[in-house]
Amino acid sequence: MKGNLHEMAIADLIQQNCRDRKSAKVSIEHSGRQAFLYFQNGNVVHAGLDDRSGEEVVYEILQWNEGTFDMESGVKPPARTIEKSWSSLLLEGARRLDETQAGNDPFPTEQNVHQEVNEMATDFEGLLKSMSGEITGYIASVLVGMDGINVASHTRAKVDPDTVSGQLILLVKLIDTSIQKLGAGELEDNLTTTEGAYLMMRSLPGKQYFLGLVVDKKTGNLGNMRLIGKTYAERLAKAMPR
Amino acid sequence: MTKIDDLIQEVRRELGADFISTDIVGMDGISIGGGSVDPHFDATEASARFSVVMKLAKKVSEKLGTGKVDDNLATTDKAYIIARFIGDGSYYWGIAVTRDATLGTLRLLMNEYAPKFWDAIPS
Repeated sequence: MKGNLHEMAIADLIQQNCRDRKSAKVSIEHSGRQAFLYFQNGNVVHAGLDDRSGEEVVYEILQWNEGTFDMESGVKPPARTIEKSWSSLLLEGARRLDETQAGNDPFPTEQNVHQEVNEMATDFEGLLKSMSGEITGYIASVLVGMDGINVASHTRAKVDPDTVSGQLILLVKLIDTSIQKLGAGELEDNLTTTEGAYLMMRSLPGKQYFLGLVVDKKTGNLGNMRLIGKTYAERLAKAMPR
Repeated sequence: MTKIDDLIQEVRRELGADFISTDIVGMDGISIGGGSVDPHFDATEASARFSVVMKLAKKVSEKLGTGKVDDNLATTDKAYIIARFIGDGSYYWGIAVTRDATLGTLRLLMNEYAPKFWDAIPS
């Protein structure tokens, strides 16, 4: 299996391989450098980069957002240099990433901010595009703020993403208020079934942003849409700036 | 007991412990039958609020060109709340169940009972 880190982050690769208890080797290429991860019995057991190996390599490559990966199943590790569980590795990696980000650019320039915003939009659109390939009957998707403004969108048919965002956020706001007034819990998602389509809005943690999905009713599958929508809402939330 | 009340009792029995509330509601927001078994869930308020939701859902679908609205399902951390238009769309059937309920079964149950409720509404 091959892919790029826009579509699947290294943390997701680790999580997926460990949960599936795969034996595999993943080669990752980033800015001309190549790293390796080896998986066995539901854990990362070996990692290598340049002339280094072990946990520190994992922490470094968890910070890579760009690059490609290539996974070969059934490959046994040449050595064991990591003893920590995969979840502890990811937690420590996330902690170090936070520290690095907090230490960078205390006074970002306007140019840096623009660059960051552009990169962020590309990341979101990349995720929406990747999601479109996993949903049967997919028509359009939007990542929209509570103000109804699009952060990113992706459409396959002649659909105006701004209209989709504006209309769906209007509906979900009313439903959210109704649910709150009724004391019926926290809204996770809303699905409107019409003659021609499924219209779904799923909130990202913090409820400041929603993932909106339009899926053809004839060719779409409700279960598939809800599951993939949930998975990608979590990925989009991870890509949000903190 | 009216035919609508009989049908509501049948639906309650089918859903068992997962049942929270159900109502047959006119588009003016007034319920013509139903009620809640959860004292924290106000069926009258839910009926009124979701009639506004269903009206807006119709407008949204019109703007997006996706046709007539069948139903709206809101999922919260506590409950599933479904509102489905019945008959010619002058009434909707609202139902709230716990998250332990099986969504697929609930939708099948609504498919079965929606025409029965429509037939039971006095013309």
